Amino acid sequence: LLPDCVLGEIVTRLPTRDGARLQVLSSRWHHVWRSSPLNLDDRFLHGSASTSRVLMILCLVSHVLAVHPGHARRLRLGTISVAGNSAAYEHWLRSPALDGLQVLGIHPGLPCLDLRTIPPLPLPPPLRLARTLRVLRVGSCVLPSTAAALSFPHLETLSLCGVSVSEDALHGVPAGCLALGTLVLDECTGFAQVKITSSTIRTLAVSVAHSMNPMPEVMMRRVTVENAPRLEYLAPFRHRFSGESFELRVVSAPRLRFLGCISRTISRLELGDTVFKVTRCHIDHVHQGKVISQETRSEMRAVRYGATLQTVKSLALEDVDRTDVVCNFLRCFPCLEKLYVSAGS
Amino acid sequence: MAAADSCDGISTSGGGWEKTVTLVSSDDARFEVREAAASLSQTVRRMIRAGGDGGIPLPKVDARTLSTVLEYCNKHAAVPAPAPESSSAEAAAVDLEWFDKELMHVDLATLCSLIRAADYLEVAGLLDLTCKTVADMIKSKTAEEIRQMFGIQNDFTPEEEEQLSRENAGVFE
Repeated sequence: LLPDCVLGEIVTRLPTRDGARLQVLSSRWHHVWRSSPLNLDDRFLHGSASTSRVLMILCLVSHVLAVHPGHARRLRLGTISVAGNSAAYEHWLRSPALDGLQVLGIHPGLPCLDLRTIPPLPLPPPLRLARTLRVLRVGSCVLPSTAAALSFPHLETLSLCGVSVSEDALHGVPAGCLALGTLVLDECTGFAQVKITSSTIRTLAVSVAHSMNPMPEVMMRRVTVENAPRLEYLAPFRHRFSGESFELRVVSAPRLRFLGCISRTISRLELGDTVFKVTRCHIDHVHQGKVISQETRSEMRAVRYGATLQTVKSLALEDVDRTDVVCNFLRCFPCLEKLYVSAGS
Repeated sequence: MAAADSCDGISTSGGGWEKTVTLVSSDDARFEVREAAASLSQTVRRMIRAGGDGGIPLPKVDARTLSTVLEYCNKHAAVPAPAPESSSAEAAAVDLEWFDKELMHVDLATLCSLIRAADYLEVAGLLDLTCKTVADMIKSKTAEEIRQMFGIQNDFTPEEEEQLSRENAGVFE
């Protein structure tokens, strides 16, 4: 059959639990499973009824990282809070067992956590994982604030969800992540504005933090795409109950093909010289020639027309329930192939 | 033929003049391939750099397997840089995905030959694709089914197997 190291390449591509099942096949496979590149996902671990699950997982993760002969492929931790376990995280993320790690996911808390109460995630010194890390997903925690905190030259995907991250750390990303194709900043806080200049980025998704969460000190107020020659997908999205808004400015994105959702979460949208702004307008409801009621609405409208945006093929609009608002947008996007519209709530 | 390196031809595929190299399988079949495609194999790339003539010998790969590997390399090295303002990048990605899926419609023995070849030739993309395919085949199967699939002799005593299963059940959900 195949050599052990190649069998290990198969085992490491299985979900944690399915991989572990293979150790009962034979003594050879028992060995193959133990020496295959680590693929540890703590969602598949559970404690016995007598021990608390978190404590059990804490022990199991420490044990696995201590005894694994080295080389890892993927690590996902989603159970253990950084608060109170900062030292454990630091120890794990520096473990030699994680050499070669390609995919790292850390989601150590519930979404709605007050980030002011937890210590920063002790990300390992960049050199440790920098040679191999391709995907980094972090949720609900605080990142170190230095400019070099997110410096992974082979990183292709960086996804931060509900994370507090400093402006310095974010602005260090393009210089530190030279292969970055996808950047997701979902409900992140800790910075007032972010400027994106990247020659590799193809997808950018941003959303502003939920206003029902404990209010952080610094909210995202402006996103600027300064220069992104390969950007194709720009997705400013909105969470259902979010009442917060931000400004989105695109200076140069010559390959932009997909834009949306444009919703009330964006207070001002600048695409080159074209400027859209949320403006208040009065609407008269007329019945049989008589005004029966009046209404004031906030609607996104172009307040300045610049060059049309001919590269955009797909546009998604939210909170739009009048055709003249849609027409107002269409004037700026003459080459659309797909238009998605959802009416306001 | 150039004496200093293994590049022994020029072809016009892809609309321009391209260097080609000759690869020789374990059963002495010769394959003339574009250098860009052959270079997806790190092993071949090193051998091209090292030079030599008369073709690059690949004694661990038979002709049937090598032709599939090269089909993969040709397809994946042919991806053109997408032109601005076109949706060709997306179409090319979908086409490539479809091609990969079709290529994996083979039996387990062929898959294992491909894995062995991809590992020896160091074609990272093909190794990932083939290993993922086998992993998907394993995922939904019972231990006994997997043993049959790979012809694995169970050398555990019933007690040992029972104990390992119990340990698994205690740790994994």
